Amino acid sequence: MSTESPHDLERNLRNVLHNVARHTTIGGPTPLPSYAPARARASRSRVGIAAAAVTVAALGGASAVGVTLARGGGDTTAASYAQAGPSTTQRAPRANPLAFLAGGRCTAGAETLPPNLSDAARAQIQARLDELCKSLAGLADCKIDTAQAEALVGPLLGDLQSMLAEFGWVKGQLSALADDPALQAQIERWIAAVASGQAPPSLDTVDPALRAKLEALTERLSTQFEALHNSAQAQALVERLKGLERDPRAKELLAQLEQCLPR
Amino acid sequence: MSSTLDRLQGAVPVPVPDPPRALAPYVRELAGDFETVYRRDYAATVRLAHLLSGSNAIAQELAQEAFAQLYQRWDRALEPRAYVRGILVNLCKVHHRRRAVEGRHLPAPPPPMLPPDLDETWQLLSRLSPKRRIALVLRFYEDLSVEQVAAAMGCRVGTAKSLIHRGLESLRQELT
Repeated sequence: MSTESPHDLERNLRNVLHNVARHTTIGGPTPLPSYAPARARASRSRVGIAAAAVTVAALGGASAVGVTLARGGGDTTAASYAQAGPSTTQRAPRANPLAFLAGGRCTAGAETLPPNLSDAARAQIQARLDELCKSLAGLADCKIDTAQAEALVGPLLGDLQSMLAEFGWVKGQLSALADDPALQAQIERWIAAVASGQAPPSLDTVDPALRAKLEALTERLSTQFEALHNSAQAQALVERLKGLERDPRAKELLAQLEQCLPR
Repeated sequence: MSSTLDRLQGAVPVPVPDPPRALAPYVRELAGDFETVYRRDYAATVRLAHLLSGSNAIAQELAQEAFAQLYQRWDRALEPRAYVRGILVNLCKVHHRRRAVEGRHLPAPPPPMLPPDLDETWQLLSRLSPKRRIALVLRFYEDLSVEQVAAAMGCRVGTAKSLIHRGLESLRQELT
């Protein structure tokens, strides 16, 4: 082996290491570790946490819709889900929310969607909202006791909403990340690769500073989720949900709802 | 920026709220399940284990153990490749410690059969301290930066730099 210069030594070392690696016996087919399942479980990794971050903002909006729905309707439409808007606390006159939504008030559409959506995305969301409205129209004649539904579900949804409100900071952090020039550049590269039919760039190419920010965000989110999961408040909610499952009134409500669902 | 987001919205099939939309590529990139990662990276991990441990016989065992640990910590593995590398480095440190104890009480195992042109440097590498050997393998086989070597070894950047420098210096002295 030549040792004329440091670079020669490093180059030769690289060659030797790669040659030895080529001589490595890998063994036949690669079995999964015996205690791993044949099919991997659904991803519960930080992907899940990131996905949770993605959905927390939406959930905030969704729970607002749910609470409003359970409380007898209001001005909140399904578009609130897509907008992840602030919670609606105003109480509207009692009415069958399904009939309310289906009776010509299911107007979620272009004017209520976020303004910066592309035409394609707008059309896609609109199509989904139209489908939702169509389904709701089939539920309009449903004889569901909304007062009972409110009594059963409303307080739970209210508590859930207040718990999710603790994750409000995520939205701001995600906004900051989305505005990061490094992320924008990465997205450009990703789109270019996908558009040209190539494999998307690996995460290894992500700017380390950006990755650190993302990791910090997921770490904080993970910690907060864990704390929430272990909190007495969350455990109490879970117990109440279990109790709700056993409640004959809830079972009756579900049975009614099943009958009303479009087939 | 707006054009980027608009194009991304067209590419993402599911409407999502504004800020998370920009993260969708990463979520998708990360969505590979354990089995995919395992089948993709297993062979490379065995090769790395061979270089880090110096033993082809033990390499598969170490790689299996590394993936088993990765599976148990799948929730925390944002980058599975880097994560399994870190686990492997720790396993190899343990392996070297055990081998050192064994070496004091058992006869040395027969050296592995390799082509003659590789044998000299490979043998010299095995004489380095485990930490120096690991640092050199990570730096010159995995092509990691010094910072990444430090992260994988769980030491300071200065320490990793020193290990690499001293490892190279030891090799140079042995070869001259």
